[in-house]
Amino acid sequence: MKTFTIKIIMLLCLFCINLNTVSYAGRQCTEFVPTARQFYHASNMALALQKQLHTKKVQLALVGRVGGDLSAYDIKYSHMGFLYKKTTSSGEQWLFVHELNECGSRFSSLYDQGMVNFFLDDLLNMDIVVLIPDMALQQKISALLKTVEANKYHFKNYNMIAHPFSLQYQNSNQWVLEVIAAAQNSPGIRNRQDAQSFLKQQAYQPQLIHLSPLKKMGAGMFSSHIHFDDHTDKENRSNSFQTVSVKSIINYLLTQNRVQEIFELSEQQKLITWMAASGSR
Amino acid sequence: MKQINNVITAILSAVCLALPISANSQNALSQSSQLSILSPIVMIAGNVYMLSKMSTMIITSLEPIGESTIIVVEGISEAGKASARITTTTGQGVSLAVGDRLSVSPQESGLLLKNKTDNLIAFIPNKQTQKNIYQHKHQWKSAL
Repeated sequence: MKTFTIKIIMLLCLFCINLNTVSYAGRQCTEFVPTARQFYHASNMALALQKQLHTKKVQLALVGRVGGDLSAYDIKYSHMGFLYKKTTSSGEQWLFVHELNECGSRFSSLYDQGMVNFFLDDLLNMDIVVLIPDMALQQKISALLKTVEANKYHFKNYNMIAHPFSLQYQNSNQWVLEVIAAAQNSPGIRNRQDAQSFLKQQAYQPQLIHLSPLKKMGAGMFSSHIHFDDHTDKENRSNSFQTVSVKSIINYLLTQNRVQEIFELSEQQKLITWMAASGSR
Repeated sequence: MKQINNVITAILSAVCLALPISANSQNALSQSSQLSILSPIVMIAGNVYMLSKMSTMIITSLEPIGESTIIVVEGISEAGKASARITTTTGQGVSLAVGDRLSVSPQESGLLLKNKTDNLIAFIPNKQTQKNIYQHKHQWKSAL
């Protein structure tokens, strides 16, 4: 009996240590102070990206970054935001606008930040994928971002694997996709529900994320930012969940024929073109 | 009793195994914003143009603040004398002392300050970098 009690106490201690890890460990859940080298790399990446966008005369692009290692889920780029050119009285400035989960909570907010700072969010690496929509879509999304319209599509109840056709939660990529939908069909879309109906009509294909029962149990019990109750019984039984990912947004815009160009920029500033500019549309 | 013991051990082990996975997933997909980054390069005084004219600078004082250090550097060139207070972080194993000479190498995005063993001590972005591509995270309302 004594051995049993000791074992339980030890396991509970281990359990508590792990709980603590969930609250503070990992990228952006701990205070992150970049080194001078990281700052230098981030500045160079930002400069290289700015040059690319300037050369291509871009007003707005979609940029995906690598938040962590999700290769087990067939995901490289985990998070996407809008990068747009803001003109002020003192000149032009590039800003990222994106939805971010308030770490450790069930809520999100919209933020803007400079390009250097976007690369300094304690990422796995500074590789990015850049999708440049056709000029008409660039202009429509920019117009939405310049008014309070784009706020209408933000929903603060956050779920990392939010169902793409449910209004219960939203993940960061979902906000991007719903704003894109609104820009595609602006007079006909007034809210999230309209945006999701439109995406359904356009046969948007979400990405399937498969979780092991163990991971699902751990996430469901201890993570306030992961929920499964917006998913169907079928998804819950199979542990395969539909969600909006960077890859699914890229595929959607490709099938919609709304892409001018797609390229990757690696941390070593190597440019890899996925799809060259066609000049169409 | 042994059976109960084994069951509890199995459950707790399973939970403990699952937890770090959920933590990683969250951070990977969402990129939370709870803690803003301390700017490592706040120039409190100094002019990057003037500093770029220096080939070397000397540390005149050091002020550690948490994980960061404010280094005060000073240099003289034909263009005149310049000094700057730079907040920076250094890598492990890099020690700094008053009187250390730092080499200055201008780059497209700013200035690199290195010590005699080629460790990067500070990066000072130039005006263009600071103005166009550097901005702390803000709650966003709209682009207006």
